[in-house]
Amino acid sequence: MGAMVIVVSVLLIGLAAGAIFVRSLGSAVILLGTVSLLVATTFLLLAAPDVAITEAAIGSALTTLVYVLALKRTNSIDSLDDDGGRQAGKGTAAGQKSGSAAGGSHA
Amino acid sequence: MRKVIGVLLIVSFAFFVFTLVMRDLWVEDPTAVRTLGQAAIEETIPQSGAANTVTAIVVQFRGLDTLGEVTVLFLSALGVALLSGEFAGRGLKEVFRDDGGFILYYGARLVLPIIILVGVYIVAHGHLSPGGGFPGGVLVATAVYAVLMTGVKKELSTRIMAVIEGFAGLAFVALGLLGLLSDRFSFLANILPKGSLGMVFSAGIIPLIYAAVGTKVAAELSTLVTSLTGSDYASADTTAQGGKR
Amino acid sequence: MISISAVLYSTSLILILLGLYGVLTRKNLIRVVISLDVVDLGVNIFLVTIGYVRDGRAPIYLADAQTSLADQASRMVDPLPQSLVLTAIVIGFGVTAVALTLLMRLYERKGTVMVSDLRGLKW
Repeated sequence: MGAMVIVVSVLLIGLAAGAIFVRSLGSAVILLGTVSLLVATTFLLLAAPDVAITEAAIGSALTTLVYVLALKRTNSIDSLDDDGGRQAGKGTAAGQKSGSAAGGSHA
Repeated sequence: MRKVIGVLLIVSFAFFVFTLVMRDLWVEDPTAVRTLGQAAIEETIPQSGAANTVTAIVVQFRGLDTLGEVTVLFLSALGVALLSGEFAGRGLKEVFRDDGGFILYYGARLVLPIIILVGVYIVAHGHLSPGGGFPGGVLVATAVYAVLMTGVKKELSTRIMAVIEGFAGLAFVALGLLGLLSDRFSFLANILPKGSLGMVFSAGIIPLIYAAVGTKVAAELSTLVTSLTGSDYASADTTAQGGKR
Repeated sequence: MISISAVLYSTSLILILLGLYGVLTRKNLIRVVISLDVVDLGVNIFLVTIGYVRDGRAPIYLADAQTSLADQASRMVDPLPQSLVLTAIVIGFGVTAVALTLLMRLYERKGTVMVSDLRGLKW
């Protein structure tokens, strides 16, 4: 039981760091949904089934849906965001070139 | 530069929390529940008749906070609906480029009654097993999303959902006001008979309140996503007549 | 053996700090909302861990079990933080939904969701 808690905690921290630092926004949203399911597992390990059901339903189903809608409406669903000041392109070769140029000049 | 300041702020915050707060929490697991929680555990069956302690706290001992939570959810759905007024008319065709296809269409129609059934079950047994009004309402709303996302229906009328939501909220407050008419004279008092432990028809007004909450949450969340995707039936109608800008 | 409370307190604290760093340093506003969500999750884990009792069980009575009700009551986890977290999860979703809708409207007006492109914000 302690070993399970340690494994889930390490996964939690790793995937949450991934959701914040990964370059593609679509992957970040999917990672957030996975983190939410791991948090629901943590709640189960803490003997809180009510909270676990609520977190799994709201955090991983609803929140991911609203994020995907937001990504689609801001045209970010396949953009790579290297945090270089300009929202890098739409995942094509031209977009990656402009993204790396902006990242290089703003480093 | 910005990242350096960020790291410095985080490190100082972590130092502050570790020395002041975690010093007392870095211990072994506690072996006994604190006094207020112990009182809640012991008073659940005598005062409310529910088998789920968390439900008894959420609906009866702290029932007014649940009313506030329902209000906050209503306000956020209202805010989203107001802010997404401009998405009207540029509905699902802009968000999803094509229909779901054969498998999604018929698969959604097959799975829909099961989702609704599980959602209603979770709401109805909120006082006996984990769950309650909120996750059950979310599940029923997920059924509505399945309808929208898989192309079973392109538009939904939010007028019916708004009426259902209004009546469910009214039912919650009316059940609370009934407590004022009883001899205990307090809002949201548990006035119906408590029944025997473990039956669905037990625990006074707790199943009724959770039914009202579940209906309200389901209608609210359906309205939220319907207005976000712009598939509101009424707005599509007015846009066809020349837009309402 | 291992104190589950200590492990989970540290995990929730690291999650809160990670999310806080993301809110402070990321330029894409959608990623700022994602980091805010991570802070929310960390705080909820922290709250539920407060009520954990060693070898505790879920706070639900079983009417037809072999053990008596008093025996079940002596082994339960604290239900009070769980009811608070139930409310907090729902309200956290409300905040996320409104924030993302604001970002969608911002994109319609200005065409960007990067903080560095919006005038008046000097970060």
